[in-house]
This record gives sequence, C-alpha cells and structure tokens, in this order.
Amino acid sequence: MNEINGLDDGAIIDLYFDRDEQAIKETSERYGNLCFRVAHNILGNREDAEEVVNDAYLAAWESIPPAKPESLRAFVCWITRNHALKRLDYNTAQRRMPKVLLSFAELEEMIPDNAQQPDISAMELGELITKFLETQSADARCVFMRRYYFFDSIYDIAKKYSFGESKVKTLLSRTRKKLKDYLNKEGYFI
Amino acid sequence: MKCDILINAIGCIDGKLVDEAENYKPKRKLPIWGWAASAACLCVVVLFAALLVEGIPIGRMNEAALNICIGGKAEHGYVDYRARAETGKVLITDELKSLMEEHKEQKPRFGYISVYSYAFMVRITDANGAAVPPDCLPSTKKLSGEDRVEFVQNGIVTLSEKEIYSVKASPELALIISPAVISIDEEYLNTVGRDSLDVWVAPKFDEEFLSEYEYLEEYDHLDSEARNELIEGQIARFFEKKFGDHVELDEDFKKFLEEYDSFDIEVRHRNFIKHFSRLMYQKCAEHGFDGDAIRGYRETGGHVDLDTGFQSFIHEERVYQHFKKYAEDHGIDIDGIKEYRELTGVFNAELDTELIARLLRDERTRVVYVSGVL
Repeated sequence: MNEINGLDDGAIIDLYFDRDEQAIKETSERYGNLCFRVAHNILGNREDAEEVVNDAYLAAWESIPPAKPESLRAFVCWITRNHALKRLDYNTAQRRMPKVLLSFAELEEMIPDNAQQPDISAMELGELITKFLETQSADARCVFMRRYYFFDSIYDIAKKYSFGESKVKTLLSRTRKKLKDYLNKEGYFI
Repeated sequence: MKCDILINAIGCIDGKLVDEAENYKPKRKLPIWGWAASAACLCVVVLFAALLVEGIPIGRMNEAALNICIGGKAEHGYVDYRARAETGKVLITDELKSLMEEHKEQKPRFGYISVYSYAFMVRITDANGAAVPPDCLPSTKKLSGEDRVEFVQNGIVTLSEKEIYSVKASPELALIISPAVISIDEEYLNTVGRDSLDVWVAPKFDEEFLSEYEYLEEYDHLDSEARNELIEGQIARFFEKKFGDHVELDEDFKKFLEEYDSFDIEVRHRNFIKHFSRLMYQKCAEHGFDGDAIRGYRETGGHVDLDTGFQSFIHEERVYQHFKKYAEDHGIDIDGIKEYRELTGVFNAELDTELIARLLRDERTRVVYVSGVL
C-alpha cells in the first residue's frame, strides 16, 4: 500500500467510502501534482489541466464507492487521463494542437493505414499490453508507461530516470516494435 | 484518430505498472567493492584477457594486414568497430537486457568482445579468440536507428575516458557489449547463468605509452603518403577534400584520387606494419629483448600466422612488464604468479583473484572483459 506522508491510500479510500470530503483534499495533496502533470502533458495548457484535474477529483468522488481501487494513484491517474483525452479531442477540433500529439504519432506508426478496428475492447487490449510489458525490462516498461500513459516528454523521462534522451528514444522505439510484433502475433493490427 | 484504440488500451494497463513507473528508480552503479567481489568470483582467466586488451597495436596491425573494413564489411578477418571515448562513461546495458534474454539460446555466437582501453575499436572474436568472419554477423541492423550506441554511467567500472561510440552496431554486437558493463549482481547472474560469465580486467595504459602510438593515426598516414606522392598544390586540395570543405576537383586530381584509392590499401598497410615494426623494435630494445632476433623472426615471412606468434611474444612480455611494475608498486608477487603460470601453462584464476581485486580498486583499471556466452 502506498504511503508517503499523511494518510495512506487505504485510509483515503475509507474516507471516500465514509463520504468524507476530506478524501478529495487528501487525494489532491498526495496525487494532485501527478494528476496535473498528466493532464498538462496531454493538454499543454495550465487552465485546461487544472479543470481536468478538478473534474477527475469529482469523478473519483462519484466512482468510489462502489469502486475500490487497489491503487488510488493509478485510479486517479486513469480518470485524469481519460478526462484530459476527452478534452484533447475538443481542443484538437478547435485546432489547439499540444505536444502530446507527438506521442500519438509514435503510436500511430504501429498501426498500418489499412488496419481494421480490432474486435477487442480497450480493456482487453490493455490486458494484452500489460502482459507484454511485464515481459520487458523494467527500464523499457517504465519508459513506455511514462511516455504513453503519463505522456511525459522525452526530456522529462530522461531527466527523471537519469537516462540520455537517445536511450529513452531507443527504448521506446524498440518497445513499440516489440509491442507491434506482439499484437500482430495476437492477431491485431496486422 | 487511428491510435485511439491504443491510447485507450494503454489507459487500461494494470495499475501496478502505473505505480511502478512513478516510483521506478533505475539501477545505479554497484560500489566498486561490490563489483569487484562479484567479478572476482567469476574470473577464470585474467592476464590472458589483459594480454588481449593491451593489444591495441596488435589490433591495429591486424587491421592493416587483414583488410579490415570498419563497420562489419570486411571480407575476412576481424570485424572492428571504431569507437571513441569520453570521461566517465561506460556502455549502456540495461536497455539491452531483454535483447540478451531473447538471444540467450544463440550461444555462443561470439566469444569475446574486446573494448580497448582507450576505445579505439571494438573487436568480436569467437570463443577461442579467433576472428569472427563478418558473414557470421547475422545482420548489420542498427541498434536503434542511429549509428551511435549510447553509453551511460552505470557504474560498474569506468570503461574508458570518453563516451564510446560504435559504428553501425548490430544487435549482436550490443548483445556482447551488454554483459561487459551490466550490473553483475545476484539477479543478473541467476538470469544469465552463473557458469557462463567470465569477467576479465586489464590495466589502463598510461598516457606516455599511448602517446607512442599517436602517430599511427590515420591522418598521419594520409599525411605521409600524400607528402611522398603529391605535389604541394595537390596536397592542399587532397586534404581539403578529405577533411574539410568542398573543393573543385580538376581531372588530374580526380585521377589521383582514384589511384590513391587503389594504392591506399596496400601502401598504407605496408607502411603501417613498417611503422609498427620499428616501434616494437624500439620497445624491445628498451626492455632488453633481443630485437634483432625478433625482427629476424618476423622477416622470415609476412605470413599472418607468423605475425601472430610475434605479436603474442611481444605482447606478453610488454604486459608482463606493465604488470610487474604494478606489482612492485602494490606489493604483489608478480614473479611468483608468472612462475606458477609458466609451470602450469595456465593462468590460474585463484592466483589472479587478488590481483584482479587490486586492479579493480585501482583508478587506472577501466576495462572489463566478459565472454559473451550468455
């Protein structure tokens, strides 16, 4: 269980179950910066990111209970990410093009132009990707996550892990290729 | 958007990977003592490797004699990868772990990788130390879409003074490079197999020694060849073309370049060996060897096999002198070790262990050899 300062994840989730609004404050204190970073990485805009994070807190409040996440961090990140991506759709339509589209472009390279939409849900595909990542080195796995889950920039990833930027690019490139091969083997995006 | 499905799927990745990515701290370097202890346990042969390591001039000689092309395209002989180095960096390895695991069934494709102490080149040989023909290299696929193999400080040992680059490193090369600098800990040993990893170390050359070979650099060759063969105006244009800005070539100069290319290999190699021979002769004289006898031996033929014996002789003696000095400085009974080796005909690992440990602790030690049997 994650515990840094103050309440641990379990205690915060208990606050949600008790419908104690302190839960949101605690969540914000523990994971506010992380959520903001994810949102800002995606949207590239401070105001939008702050709005999305607040929406995410609200969504967490409405989701817990009945949801009881094993990892509160992953849960609020997931909500933030989804909200930010939705906002991104809107912003993109408005031709507000953040840097996160670079990450998207990297992923698009994995999918052939004539690929059919796979007959699989995002959840199932996520499980497949999880399985794949678990077979990769910790370096490759974490760099992949930071780039395509948190949408961190190459520079930020390199800085966080004390890698060179070219190492990060190398890891990403190799992991994408392996993931593509893996998914092809599983019958997707061939 | 085409990648929506992937973006959404990645959002559904297991939360534990999210936590891991947020908390992950890449492995840092082992303390030198820890590494030394691990390495010492694994060492089977030490000074033999040191002999190999210190063979920079020999490597260069082979490069000349065996028609080496940089980048894995030689028709026969060793495949050398030019490299250069920068302070405080060693080869990156963690990113290659998965690659190593993928290839672990392909053992032992290459036996040894030699990263010379000041990193002029990387050499791949088979398990017996013989050359690996380039056609045994399955591909020239680049490691990362770049010509540069990235190296970072992972702290096993400082491999060289500069960051090392490798030209067109294939995955196999990277595979071999990897164990040379990977964190050798229990987890790693359990992964690759405790019995399959030999670690060697060799001492660093001192600057004075290295400086003796500086003039063998390519530029000097070109310079001497050009000065002998060209008139002054052509020299200027030649070097402009070779090393600098664009120049307009007249027909004569183009013809010269064609001719130069044709004689380049033979003449340069011959001069290379000539220079090297002279240098070795001087070196022998300095150390009280019978240089004339060596030269006579060598002059009995230009055969590679013959040269190999000569190289080994010179090499071993030179390394011995180096180690002897080191031993005297550090109170190691190098003569006893040598005597034992001569008696047994092998390089005894137990005897070497102490020396390895001492070498590892010494700042001058910066080259690690690992046999590539994964």
